[in-house]
Amino acid sequence: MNITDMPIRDIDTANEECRISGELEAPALVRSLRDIGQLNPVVLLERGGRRIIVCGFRRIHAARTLGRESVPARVLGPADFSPLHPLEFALRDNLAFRPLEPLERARALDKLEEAGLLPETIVRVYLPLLGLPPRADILESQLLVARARPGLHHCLAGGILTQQSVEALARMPPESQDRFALLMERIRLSASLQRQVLGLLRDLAAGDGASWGAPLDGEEVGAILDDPSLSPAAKGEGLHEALYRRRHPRLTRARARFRERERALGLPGAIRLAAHPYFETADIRVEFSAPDAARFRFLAGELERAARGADLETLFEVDE
Amino acid sequence: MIAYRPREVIIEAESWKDPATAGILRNLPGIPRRTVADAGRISASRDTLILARYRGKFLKQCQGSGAEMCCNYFTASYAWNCHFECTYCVLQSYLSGSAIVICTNIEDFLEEIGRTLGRNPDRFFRIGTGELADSLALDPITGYSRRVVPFFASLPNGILELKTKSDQVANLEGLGHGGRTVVSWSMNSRRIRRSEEGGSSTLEERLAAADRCRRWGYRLGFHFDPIVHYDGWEEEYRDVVRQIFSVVDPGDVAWISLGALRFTPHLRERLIERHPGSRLPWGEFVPGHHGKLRYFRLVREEIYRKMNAWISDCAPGVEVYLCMESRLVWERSLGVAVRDAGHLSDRLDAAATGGA
Repeated sequence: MNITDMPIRDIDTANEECRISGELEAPALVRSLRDIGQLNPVVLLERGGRRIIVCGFRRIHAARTLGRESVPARVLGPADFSPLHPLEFALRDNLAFRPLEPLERARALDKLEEAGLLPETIVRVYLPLLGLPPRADILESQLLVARARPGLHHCLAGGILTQQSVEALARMPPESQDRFALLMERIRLSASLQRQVLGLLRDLAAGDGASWGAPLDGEEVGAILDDPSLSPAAKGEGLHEALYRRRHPRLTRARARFRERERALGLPGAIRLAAHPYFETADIRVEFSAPDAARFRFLAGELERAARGADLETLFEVDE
Repeated sequence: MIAYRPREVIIEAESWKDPATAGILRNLPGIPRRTVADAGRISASRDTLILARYRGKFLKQCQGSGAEMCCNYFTASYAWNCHFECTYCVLQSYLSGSAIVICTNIEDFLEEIGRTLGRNPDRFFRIGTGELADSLALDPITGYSRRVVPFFASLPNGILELKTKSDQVANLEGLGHGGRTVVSWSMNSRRIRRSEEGGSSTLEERLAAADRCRRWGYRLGFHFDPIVHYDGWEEEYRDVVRQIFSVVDPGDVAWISLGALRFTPHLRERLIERHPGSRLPWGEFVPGHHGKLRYFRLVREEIYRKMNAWISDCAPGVEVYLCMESRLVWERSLGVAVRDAGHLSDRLDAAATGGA
């Protein structure tokens, strides 16, 4: 095995056809390189007079950060990788040291496909290698994620969007992807709310025959997003509520009426009244807890007072 | 209506023993055919007709059973799948293959129904064949109505309902139905029929077929199901109600059912994927019975209240019932108190036989 000290300027660092790593910045690697030096040589492919990186993108980046001008390298020719494609070599090398991030996994699969590997081979060999079930639909999902717009990749890498959300968004036109990525700079949504908001946006836009982002253009949504007193998470919840109100106008009005009529009863806050979440039945659940008999008597008395009032009947009517 | 004409007929080997097989093939001259040992493993498109034996139980309780108010309906299927391909149809969701399957052991079908009804002489059975396929769309090929209708005439405690979106009623002429068969039509507004019910018969074709059945002495049923809530729905559905009673006499009608659009979340997704232009998925839906999505209750009540009023205007006294709805919805939209499922069932049993 020949290891040479390769000047970084002689390496085609712009060629990323074998890059698996998502983030090149690696402070721990920089520290290690500074303290104990580079233990493993990078692997380069010499092809057509150029040397491209197969393994070692982060090591070369760290060396540059430290102002080094050369790195220990193994330089191989195309025949040395046979029968594997150099990308497969890079992938297996990466997996030997660490599990891949979701985006790195998706990108690796996308590159394998671009390198000409048959989808059946990728499904059978590489999905299990990456810890994924060997199914064609899984590969399709991964490729969608890999081909999403950079803004969505940034959200996925930062844990702001789930892979499922990125996959759903990746099916949309590029401008919609960019718009959602920008939106996510201002709000935070839990995984469940991401799913719901994406569904609401789709339903509202399709129901109105409008473009996907149209429901975000309303005044109400604008006011929520521009409200400086709200945290990103509160804005996310506010956005969800606003979209839900538009999608379920009669249901949300019924809920508001119920709350209003509940308030009119003047019951203490310790007594909770709950209707069926969708008013499918007229039943109302009454709940309170009391630490002693005196409190119990008081709350029961309040309920009895409300039961004698005329307002109680209206609580069971959700009609407009 | 688009008549069904398969490109290929696949015959399960065992089916050659059934006389129905030869009869069906006689009605499909010139169509390529092949025999297979086991048709259960075949996945094919709607252009393929599979003739096979059904080895399971034919008679089943309707999937509405378990709802608070259920009419105690039974279903019995001798065909699976449908070439009309209505966008909202549950057949798009839960039948794995999309080939049309006709079961050839019709004798077993009749024998099981006769045996079950014979063992329960005190119970009345309303049985429909239209759950997993249209009851009459394939009848020009199978001729099964000519077997089934006279058979039900001989049963003291059963009523057959043939439910269809077609106008294929020719085989019903001249049969001794003995008042034991109700021929019924799924009805929808012209707009929904045009946009969502693909190759089915037009409103005029359905009503012309109903008129023929009426003249042959059959009692009639109409099922407004699924009713779709959209801008302008009132005028368009009211028009259909008026059209019906401009053709048929209220006295010929056994029942009219109302059911608002509902589907599983899975079927809704399939609808969005397969029919991107459909307006159906965008209503105000909430999760309901069996996890199905359905319109918010107040929307459904408004639909039923108005439909019932329009029907009552044209045909006072005609039995109107709701499919898979709660007692609350019954009371608030139809203004009637149905005590329980047994009460509803009794009312429909009486309506089926004209109160006899």
